[in-house]
Amino acid sequence: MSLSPINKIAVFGDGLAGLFAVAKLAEILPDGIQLIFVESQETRQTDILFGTVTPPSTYDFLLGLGIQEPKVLTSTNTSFSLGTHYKKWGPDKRNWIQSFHRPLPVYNGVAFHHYLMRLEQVSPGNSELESYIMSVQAARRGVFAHPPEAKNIPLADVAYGYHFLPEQWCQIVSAKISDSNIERIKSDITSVARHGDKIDSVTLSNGQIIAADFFVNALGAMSKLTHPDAESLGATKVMRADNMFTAYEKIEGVCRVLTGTESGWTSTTPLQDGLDHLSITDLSAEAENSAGKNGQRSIEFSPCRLKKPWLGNCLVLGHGAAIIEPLTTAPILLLQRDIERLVELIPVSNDMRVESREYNRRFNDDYDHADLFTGAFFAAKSDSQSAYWNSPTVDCSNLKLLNKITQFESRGINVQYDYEPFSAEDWTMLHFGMGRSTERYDPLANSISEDLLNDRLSQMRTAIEIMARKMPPHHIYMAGLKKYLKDKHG
Amino acid sequence: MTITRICILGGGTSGWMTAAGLSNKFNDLGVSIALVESDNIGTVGVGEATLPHIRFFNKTLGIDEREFMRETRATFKLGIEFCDWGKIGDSYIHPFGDYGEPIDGIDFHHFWLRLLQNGHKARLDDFSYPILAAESGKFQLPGPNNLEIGSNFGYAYQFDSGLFAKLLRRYSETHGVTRTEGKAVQTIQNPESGLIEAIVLEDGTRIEADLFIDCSGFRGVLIEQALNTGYEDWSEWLPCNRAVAVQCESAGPSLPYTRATARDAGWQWRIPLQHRTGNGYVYWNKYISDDEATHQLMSTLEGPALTEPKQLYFKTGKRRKLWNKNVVSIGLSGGFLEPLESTSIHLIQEGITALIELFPDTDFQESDAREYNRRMDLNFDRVRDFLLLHYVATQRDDTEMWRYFRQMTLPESLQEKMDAWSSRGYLLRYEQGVFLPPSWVAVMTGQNLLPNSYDPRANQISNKVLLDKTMAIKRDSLAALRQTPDHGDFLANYIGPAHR
Repeated sequence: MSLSPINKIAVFGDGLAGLFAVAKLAEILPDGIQLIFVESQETRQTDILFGTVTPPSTYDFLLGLGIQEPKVLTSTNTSFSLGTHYKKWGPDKRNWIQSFHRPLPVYNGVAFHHYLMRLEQVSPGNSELESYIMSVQAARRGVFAHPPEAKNIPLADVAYGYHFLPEQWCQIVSAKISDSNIERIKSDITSVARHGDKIDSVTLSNGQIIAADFFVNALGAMSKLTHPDAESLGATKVMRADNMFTAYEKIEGVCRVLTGTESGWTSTTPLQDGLDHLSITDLSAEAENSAGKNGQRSIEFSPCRLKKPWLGNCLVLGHGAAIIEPLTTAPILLLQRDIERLVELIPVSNDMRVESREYNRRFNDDYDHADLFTGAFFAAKSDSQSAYWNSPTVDCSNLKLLNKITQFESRGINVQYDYEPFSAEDWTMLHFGMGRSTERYDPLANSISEDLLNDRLSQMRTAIEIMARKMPPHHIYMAGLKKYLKDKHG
Repeated sequence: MTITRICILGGGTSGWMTAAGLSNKFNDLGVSIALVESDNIGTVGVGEATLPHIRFFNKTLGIDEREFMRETRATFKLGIEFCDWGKIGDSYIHPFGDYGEPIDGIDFHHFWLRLLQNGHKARLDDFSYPILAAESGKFQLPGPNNLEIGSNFGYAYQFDSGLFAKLLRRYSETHGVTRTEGKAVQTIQNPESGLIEAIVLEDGTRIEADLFIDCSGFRGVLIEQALNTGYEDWSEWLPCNRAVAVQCESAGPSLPYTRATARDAGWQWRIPLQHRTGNGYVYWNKYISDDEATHQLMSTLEGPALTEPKQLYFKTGKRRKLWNKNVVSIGLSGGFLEPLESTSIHLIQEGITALIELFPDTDFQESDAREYNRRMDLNFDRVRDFLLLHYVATQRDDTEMWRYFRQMTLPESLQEKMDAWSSRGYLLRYEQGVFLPPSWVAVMTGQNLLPNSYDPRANQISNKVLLDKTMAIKRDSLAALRQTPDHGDFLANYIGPAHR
């Protein structure tokens, strides 16, 4: 019944964003819609800004592309990730592990951390959260095992993401796409014919003209496909990412280690065959230009995003739509959500006003909410002279963020907005990690005796510790798993 | 400092629900709760019909379902039947449950739309077990396995709210709440902070407290008369401003659903209880006189009237701050939305839950009230949009009132939802708020607002697979229905013989 149904979708860009989009569309598009993939080669260099750590949802996301975990582990140097260990973070030089974890227990209707806050008031300094989080304890020891189905052991509470290199994932996704009958064209864009917001066709350097009903532009910030008048937010800071890789014999650790520096941060991510080093520097905060070490790749970038990534019949995806500092899993998490949002809104006709408005609404909600989370890494009084710490790329005076922090500091409550990308557990761990203490706690946390509470907590700590001691080091687990996969599947 | 004294002004449904909810949580924590009510002030007895969330409230209090149903003369409720809304002669049921089940992660209604748009005659209702059960007057409790069609639904109650208040009063009094009979004639405010320190009753009794809960109804004795908080008037969107209510004898078997019938200048409710039927006509007095409304109500009763018709006056909207200084308004004092979707008791419950979570100290930090108000505003706003949907998703233009709605410029939040639905069956979702996507599907399809298209992903499966799957769901629903007893029989069996 729709007046003119769409027949053809063209995706541009051979970086992770474009490949993810094509692989996902190939899985879900019905037969009536043709998919063209134009692999213009100008995008992969910014892919390091997707970071090196994915959230736990990536497991399902990859399955949705038809890519299973064994394939990822055996074809790339991907390793398991329990989170990020932040060190010397911020003016107070905070040190904590921000891990992936299922919801913490709720006793008598009261969230777990209120009990810790109760104990904190009795004996200050005695109520750290990390002893009660299985994934943190495993990360501290560098051990890993898959969480089992059974719900009654501490290991079941662990959630995990991956350490990965975008360039290696590009290869497996590209190989996956080759299995399907997608038309692939390797060529760059020469010119774009548009009237108003609508793109009619794109001329390629090989002479081909691509006409489609809907264009996905995953070509990065400098793309010719992006509407020349597209408005963007941010882009006030210039930063530099320096990246290099050093090989090792066996996996060291099971989380990324990220250390604050005077003008940014530096991180190491343990992959199967070596460490990925990524540093982010705020160029306005840097005393002297220290770039250009041997073997380093460096790119400059400005964190920013488009106000309306979907304009007319063209959606901008990936770094052309938004660039965020890979301090958390946000870059890859939001890319996944962008793609999932796209497939929920595959246009049904050439009138895409409803789709673009809704996509842009959710896009802005997601990026705003992720900014709240990033902002919470910076919302602390700083006497540093460094621009990195004093004027972060996200707005820390945002009312929604202030509300979150005020509520937590005032009474340990995690204020939730609709469909936030980061969970209440993420927030609780971050607040504890940033050393935010709470004035009050839920009075209902007083309904059990202190002795009973101490008993319970001690049992929980012990169970977690025993489990952590039984778990194998990451490299041994990985070797065993890969041997098993090889024996089973050859 | 910790709050040790709470005063609830007003009994009725909201007062006693609040007393019960708070005493359950704070009785052991050294907090005294006083409730002041006057037998001379009538209660409105809002919303005799409820939403499934009420079960969680009762469960938290540890109230036994059978006992509760016996005492409040309750019946089970599977949803609401809406008559004459989309156009005269139409009717549909808004159930507490999903339609069908998602296929490959895609909502079922897209597949139904595919069938429809390809010429198949398929009724969406046939894929909803609670609708089928309601239509045939049947009921049973959902089983433990919610993957089974006959167990995957929610239910609520229709009850006598006066008797519910009585039950909760008994509960509250055994949990330490003290009830004081009397009418507040004066409030004492701290001259500096403006906080209310005490209320004085007619006989001179002075009741002091740290925190006051205003459950005094429309008048808002504390939140408005004392604190002048202000009211956000929503008459522009929901202009009905009066109601007349009457109880009558029931005719026929007891039905597991509420009925809301659209009328010339408003709508009429019918709520079946065990021993009688509650009726009311909610109307806009601009287009119908009180006498005429009463006449229309009385002439459409299913049985002889048991009471004199009772007139109610209201203005839809909400208090500008539901929590202001040391006063939290719960119930009608906080706001009023017509009971078209049985939200009155639900909003009371949300208010109690949020108050418990954000329970203040004697210094009344602004952040507590701000967060409380943010949450409650969101609840009210989203219910408002959902109620308004009923009036605007319609072809009716047969009277002045319906023509008024046809010409209305909708709130953007609602217009966006309707546009996204109409173009492709897409639902704008939210997490914080009472009505989930299936409710929106129920009302929009029930009122003939059908999308022009559907999610293209629903074309991925073949026709045969689609027909097989949909047939299977329908078959399973019908099979579950055959196992379901009549509502009246089930109820009688469940609650046992009356104890009085």
